[in-house]
Amino acid sequence: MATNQYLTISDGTTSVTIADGAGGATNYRLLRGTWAPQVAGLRRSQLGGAGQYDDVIEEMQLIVSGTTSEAALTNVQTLNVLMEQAELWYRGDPVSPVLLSYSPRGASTSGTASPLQAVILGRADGDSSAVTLPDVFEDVGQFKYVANVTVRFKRRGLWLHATDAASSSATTNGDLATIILAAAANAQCPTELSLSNIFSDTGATIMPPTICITDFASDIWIRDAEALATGSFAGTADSANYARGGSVLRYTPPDTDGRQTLGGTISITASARNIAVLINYRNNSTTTNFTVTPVMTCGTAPGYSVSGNPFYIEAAATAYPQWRVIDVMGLVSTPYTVSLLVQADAATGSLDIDTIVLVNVSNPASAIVQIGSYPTIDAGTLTLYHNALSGRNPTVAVAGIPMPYYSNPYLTSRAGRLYGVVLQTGSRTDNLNNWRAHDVGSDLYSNTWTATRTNGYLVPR
Amino acid sequence: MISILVFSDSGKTQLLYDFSNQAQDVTFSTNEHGFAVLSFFVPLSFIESFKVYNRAGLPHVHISDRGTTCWEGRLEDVSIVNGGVRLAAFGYQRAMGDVPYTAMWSTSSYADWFVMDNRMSAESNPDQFSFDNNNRLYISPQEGSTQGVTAPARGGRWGFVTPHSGLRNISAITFSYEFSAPSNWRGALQSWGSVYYPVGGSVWGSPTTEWTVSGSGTLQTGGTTLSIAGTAVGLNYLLYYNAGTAIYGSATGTDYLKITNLRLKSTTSGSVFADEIVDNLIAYVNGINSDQISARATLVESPGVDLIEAVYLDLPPSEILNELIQVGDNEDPPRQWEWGVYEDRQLFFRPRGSAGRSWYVDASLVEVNRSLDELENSVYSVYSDESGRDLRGGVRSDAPSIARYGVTRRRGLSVNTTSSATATTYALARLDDRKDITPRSSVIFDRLYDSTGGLWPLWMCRSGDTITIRNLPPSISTALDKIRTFRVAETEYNANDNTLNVTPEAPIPSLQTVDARRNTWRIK
Repeated sequence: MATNQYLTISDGTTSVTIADGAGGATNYRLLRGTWAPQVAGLRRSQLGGAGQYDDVIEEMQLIVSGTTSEAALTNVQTLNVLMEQAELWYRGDPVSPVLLSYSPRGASTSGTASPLQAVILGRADGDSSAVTLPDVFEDVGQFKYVANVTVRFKRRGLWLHATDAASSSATTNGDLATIILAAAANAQCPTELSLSNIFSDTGATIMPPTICITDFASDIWIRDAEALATGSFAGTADSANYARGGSVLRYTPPDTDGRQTLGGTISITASARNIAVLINYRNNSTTTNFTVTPVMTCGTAPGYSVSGNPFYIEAAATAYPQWRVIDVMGLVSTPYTVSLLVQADAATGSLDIDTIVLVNVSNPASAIVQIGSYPTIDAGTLTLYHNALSGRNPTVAVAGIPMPYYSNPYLTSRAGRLYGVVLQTGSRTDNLNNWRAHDVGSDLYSNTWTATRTNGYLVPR
Repeated sequence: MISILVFSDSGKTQLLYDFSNQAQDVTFSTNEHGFAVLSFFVPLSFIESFKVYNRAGLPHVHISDRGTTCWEGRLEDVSIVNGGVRLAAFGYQRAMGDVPYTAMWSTSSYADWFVMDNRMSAESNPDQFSFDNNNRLYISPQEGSTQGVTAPARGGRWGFVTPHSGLRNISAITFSYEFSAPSNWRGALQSWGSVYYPVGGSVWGSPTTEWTVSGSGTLQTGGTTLSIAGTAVGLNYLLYYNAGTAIYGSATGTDYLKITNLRLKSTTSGSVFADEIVDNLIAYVNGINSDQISARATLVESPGVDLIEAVYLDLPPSEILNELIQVGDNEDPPRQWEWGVYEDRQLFFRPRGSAGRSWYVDASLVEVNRSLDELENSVYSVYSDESGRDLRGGVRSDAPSIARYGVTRRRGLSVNTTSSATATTYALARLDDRKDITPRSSVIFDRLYDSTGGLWPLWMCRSGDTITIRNLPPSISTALDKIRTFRVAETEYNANDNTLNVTPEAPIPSLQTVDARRNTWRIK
């Protein structure tokens, strides 16, 4: 249990120690009653990149002293330089971030050796400076201290503490991986994710992956599409191309009317209200275009149907499988079946669908991260860095090489377990036609998932 | 959560910036032409700001939410301001305004024909003939003129050339003819693979004879449709005496070649539909700026209306598209059409609202106001007789409207027709549209539902969607019905506040109005 308060502002080299955790004297004493840590609320903005919690404004008054009057003034300047550096860092200058480190008196979770930390973003909006001198400033010449120096700044809302890391077993791409962390967290905490064995290879025959992750097992549902065969939809063997389950669902249009598959029974989280629908498909026709519309049945059987938005699949000069998010559906009650309504603009050609994946994106811990094209490299580890204490933005890298991405890679989680699936097509043997990424020979690629969650708190402890 | 990503180009080759957690005052909008404007501020240092400012190429901005595209466009405006940069991106609809387009697709105008002389073709002698192009092409030898093919051969020619540097050549011609002349006289249609510009600056090359008719001493009539070789940029009708030099002794007008029901096309299609033009516009823009507009034209539908006059001179494709959507289609009643660009830089051309979704909202605030400005409860038509003199039709009024608003507001409607019945139809359509005041409304809501009550992100609402306000009281006013359900003209979403502003569309005109607009429209 922490005996005394610990409170510092530091960039790792220069420090302003307000409370040393041992009750000792410092040159920056907190004026009693002028500060209590702000508790962040949920971010109203829909913009990602920094988690669910809003930034907060901290304001405190310090008595800044020194062995001499000049030393006291130097100490005030040091504080101001750190505040300025924090703002320069947030604006993108190549300087180190400035962290506010804190452990409340009597806390047992945090302490002097492992305080809570939050990155400082600079002065509060609208302020001309983070440091304001008092009217009695001139007294420093007599007393060797400046009383009531006001420090007001903005910081990230979540207090971050120690990390909790765990790895999954090697999981074949396309299957659900499970990561068991030590315990659930108190808030939606930033989570770094690494995936081993992510290949690129020469010839670019492996497509960049789409990563789906959540912290609830029922939030991801994976189904072989051929299970929905009926009528013009037939299960067609394609094990040679590593179709999941050995077959794909093939639609051969008899006309240009819309045709619907069977409804596959869904077992997804009962509270799911926004569900992303992903499929991997291949248009085998160079002339026929298709639209695919997800349809879900909701309520109590027989229930009612809810149709999503049509997803347009164009005729392909070169047909190969690819994963796409075809829709995010909004629902009022839990869906219990999903089917696909497919329509062709000509009674010729065919469309193959191998797998349907549903992700409950109502869960703030759910994320779908699409990696962009990447350069030719050997097998490497793909990492989604949140950079909550070190960077302005999240980053994605493979073997240390920054990767483009198409969505929000700042992952957060709260539950004790994480679940994820890598959706990737192609192979290392110059064959883009494979439904699941595989190595030379017949082995599907397996990935080991490693999650490192930085535990966070809204109320310091 | 929404991501704001800036890539080096529309192919997303390189991710330049992730501004998701830095961007402030983020708003993005849609209008009738797709993704419209994105605006936001990013606090950056001066050096970083200049890096953004000086970036070569045309960066691509992509906004997504949980794998779905919210908005995308091209980063056009970068302003270095106090404390950072203010960025503005525009949807790829703008690409249809980057380069001008010149082409003749179809014309039946006689005004664009000109009398050729020996500067263009050595055998042209206009002073030996009489010409007329008032609703026809007419050539007749003049009494006392010298005729014949003995050098210098003499012929009367009406000429036509496609627009200089135009993108399309003449592919087909349809016409009716009257030819009255004795034997040895010939009428012909010739095509030219190349002409000299400026017209009259030099002799053209050698023509190809596409059609001939020989004099028989009696009046010959007929009509034909001809395919012209794809390289034809010029045509002429020719009348000449196919024998040795002789003096023409008959009165002028005794013998003649007359062409009517004329139509030139630069396509072999029987009719010129807007979708064919749109396909060509897409290919043209893509051919110059391949990364701005997708070459795919699979979202282009056909209105099925034959465009008789379609000649475009140095017009941006966006302007041409704006004209084409006003023509409507061959449905009964005719539908409004729309064009625009949403995902994947793919241009759509389709009936207005055909891809729109229906949303339901609970308004937290409704403001309604009305103005007499647009009220017209009494109309009459203004049309013309065959000599062009203005005629005014009878006044048609709506008594209930006059009683409701306590005033007669009368307007004259100009209609390009010589038929009084047609003019009356248009006037009645106008009256139907304008006899009730359409209130202007402002609606504020903070949640978006579908028909089953499913909750959707606000940004999903787009121009062309339909919104129904669920929590208005039962109809107490016909005016209220006009704001209960409306089509969205524009949307503007603020990502920082998670708020949506929508602009209702102007009332949809009646079928007669659209029909009148189509029939009287001559695209030039």
